[in-house]
Amino acid sequence: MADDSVAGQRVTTFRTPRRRVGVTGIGLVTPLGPDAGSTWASLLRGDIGVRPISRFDASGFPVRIAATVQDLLTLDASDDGAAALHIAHRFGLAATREALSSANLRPTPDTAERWGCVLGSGAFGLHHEQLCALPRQWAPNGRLDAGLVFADREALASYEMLRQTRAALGLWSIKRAVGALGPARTISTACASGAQAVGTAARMIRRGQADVVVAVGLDSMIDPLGLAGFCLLGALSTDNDAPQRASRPFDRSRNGFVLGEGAGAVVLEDLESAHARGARVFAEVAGEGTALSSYRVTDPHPEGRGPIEAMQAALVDAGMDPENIGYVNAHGTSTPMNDRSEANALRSVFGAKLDGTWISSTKGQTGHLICAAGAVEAAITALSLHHGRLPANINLRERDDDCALPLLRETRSEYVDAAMSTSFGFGGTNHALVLRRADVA
Amino acid sequence: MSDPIAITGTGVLSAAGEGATLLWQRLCDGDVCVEPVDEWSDVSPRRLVGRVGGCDPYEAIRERKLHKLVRRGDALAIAAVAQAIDAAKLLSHRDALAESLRAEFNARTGIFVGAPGGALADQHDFLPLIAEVGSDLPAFGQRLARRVPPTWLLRSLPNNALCHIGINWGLSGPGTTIVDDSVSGVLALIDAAEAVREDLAERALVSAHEAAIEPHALALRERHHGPFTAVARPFDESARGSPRGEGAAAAVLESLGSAYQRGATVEACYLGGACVSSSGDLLAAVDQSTVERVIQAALEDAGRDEDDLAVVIAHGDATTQGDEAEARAIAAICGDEVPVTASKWSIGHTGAAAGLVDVALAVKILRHGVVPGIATTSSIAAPCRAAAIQLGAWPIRYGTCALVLCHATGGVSAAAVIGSARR
Repeated sequence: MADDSVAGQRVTTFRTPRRRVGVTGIGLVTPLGPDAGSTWASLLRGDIGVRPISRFDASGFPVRIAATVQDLLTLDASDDGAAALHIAHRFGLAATREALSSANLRPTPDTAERWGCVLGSGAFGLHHEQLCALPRQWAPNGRLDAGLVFADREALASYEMLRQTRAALGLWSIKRAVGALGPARTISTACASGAQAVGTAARMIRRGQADVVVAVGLDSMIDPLGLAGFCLLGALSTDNDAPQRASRPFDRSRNGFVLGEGAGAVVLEDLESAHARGARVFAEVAGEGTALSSYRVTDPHPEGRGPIEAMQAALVDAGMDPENIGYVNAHGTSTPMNDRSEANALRSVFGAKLDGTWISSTKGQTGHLICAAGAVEAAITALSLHHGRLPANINLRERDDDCALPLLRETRSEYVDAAMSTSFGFGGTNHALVLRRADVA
Repeated sequence: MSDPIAITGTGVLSAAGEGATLLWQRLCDGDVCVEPVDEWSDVSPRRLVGRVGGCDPYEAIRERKLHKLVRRGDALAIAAVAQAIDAAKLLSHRDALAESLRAEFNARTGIFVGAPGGALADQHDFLPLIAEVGSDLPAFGQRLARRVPPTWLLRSLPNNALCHIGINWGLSGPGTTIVDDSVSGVLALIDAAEAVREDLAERALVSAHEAAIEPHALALRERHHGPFTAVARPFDESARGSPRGEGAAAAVLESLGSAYQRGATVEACYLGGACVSSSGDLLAAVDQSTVERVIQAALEDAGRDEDDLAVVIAHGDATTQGDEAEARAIAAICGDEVPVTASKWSIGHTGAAAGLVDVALAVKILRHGVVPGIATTSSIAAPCRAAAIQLGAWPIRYGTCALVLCHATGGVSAAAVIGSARR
């Protein structure tokens, strides 16, 4: 490698051509639909997946709406191999199976060691009812007594209850469904997890560690404890009486995000191999970048520090300039601070070129899928490039003056050459992906 | 073959104490550091655990107001990073730079963390509320804010250590958190090294941590392993698993150019690593072919072969099937002369930290030229005898590299090859 300095940015040039990476399979389970086709159609129609919570009695919570996946019964639970799987793992399995089918590709005994899996996932704990079912005498004052726990350990559920609380369970279930025997990872960087999973998977292929990698983002925190966590933080929209309007990224009146759930899976493949087998290529993963804000745990840096560096790194990695990006699928959570910070970051990175770029956040329709969001939005961005349709930024009535961005108020038909998807997580992990349309050299 | 990456500092907090050198020394001395928990005096029989004692890891966090946002495991990770940064003299170097270069230094420093990815104890914060309202969900929702800390979710984030390491030292390069149980730390190391190789960062901090010494998780583990009342005897005929330990490890990785340019002492080099999967059931022990594959892939990535190995630090968690698979695989690939050691017999199984703890140990073994043995093992199990399991401390006779192995529940194995700086 050699370094050159261009306009103050470090540019890495590779002496040997690096492997290119294509997206050849997509699977989605979202509040808009149980598969990629229905999600995409619903997205373009302007449907909104936010509704009152009916999965449990949320009447006592300050927030009683969420973007929930419907048709849970259609999820195949017959072959998951472990009773402890969380509902989010089932979303991930369904998305993975669809992505593999979409790619028309499966590992063989000869290739399985060259297949990898990367998951973007949160940690899933015990369910509320499992906590309630702990023997009351163990924690008479709400604090566990070690002597009582060990003396009565036969009263505990199986060891699987412990596995249920570990993120690694998800990776095991996904790589088992794929049949991959190569490298594997679970990444947990809050709302950046899914995007980092896609970026990491692409790098695995570039580095020659694998030829095909399935990247999956999955999450569901729409349960009493997950909802409790976000309610305590005050991060959610409390527009319980207007669920369809509750998530409104970049709108002046936005007041928090809407919790969503689901999974996104993409099959990434060495582009040359994909072309050789005549695979449909949705898009190319041209670049990815990540940077830390190192500012505050929840608050984004007001000027967009962290997101700026992540976007710049992704552009450099892709060998592109801002003017090459025709569409940005923004993180756009609908919280006052995130959207302002992201707008500042986009203005900083794109400068005058921003006028030639369309921007939308799809969270107005899907809600915020937390650890799944980045993978789902990477898939949506790939579909946007493939179909030449750019989704709208729904619920934008009056744009916030602090978010002066060229936001798409309606779905737009346009084939753009390249697009960016941004994801920023609690804890200050920021990520950007740059995708290129498959038929652009 | 990939470029070597300099390791210019390490940090360890474990039941052996503070620092990788102390860990190496205590292992060489045959010290068993797991012990009963004082607070659990009414637990019978007494459970052994490896606890980090004698230090307050929170002292490493500069802003006291942030302490309440950091759980113990995250604090251990931050404290281990503080050790590693100190050993690498990283801050004195940064502080001597001009202001504009300091900003670039921060932006060019990555952070890669291996974390447990879920802790049962985090949810115990809800128990007081549940004790009050039972399973009445509306009441749970109504009284939530009065009984549960508002920062509960932040404290429970798997990437909390990553966040606070960045904030504590103002570092803002690329970063991630990997949560794959016992392989988390080595996977973080591999990805950090690749980031430096690809010039995504000039240097990277790697840290891994876990602190799950609490009765609920241990009691659940006992449903699978049996009571943790005896010390671990890896590769022994009587191997019955490892007590759990808490701990954290850290390393500073730099390009060799960066290290030489600032006059840093190169303690050792990361030469290569690999990760492979198996297709077994969730709780299946690692199998021989998977271990063989990961060893071969790591050596290939490092551009080394078995003749270069001075030591293998095995996962060695004292499970009959796991030990046997490791011993057979090591013997098959590395032969019967490379000394094989482990650390869990002394400090317990530190979970997500375990692999990186062993990497830090490898650095010290290569620097000091002595391989600690497995002091608790006395009669090596027959299937494990093909490998050169080391029972006592032993001087390195040949080879310049250490191979570190680790395996996680769910069938992911990882390996790293660490090279001597003297080469």
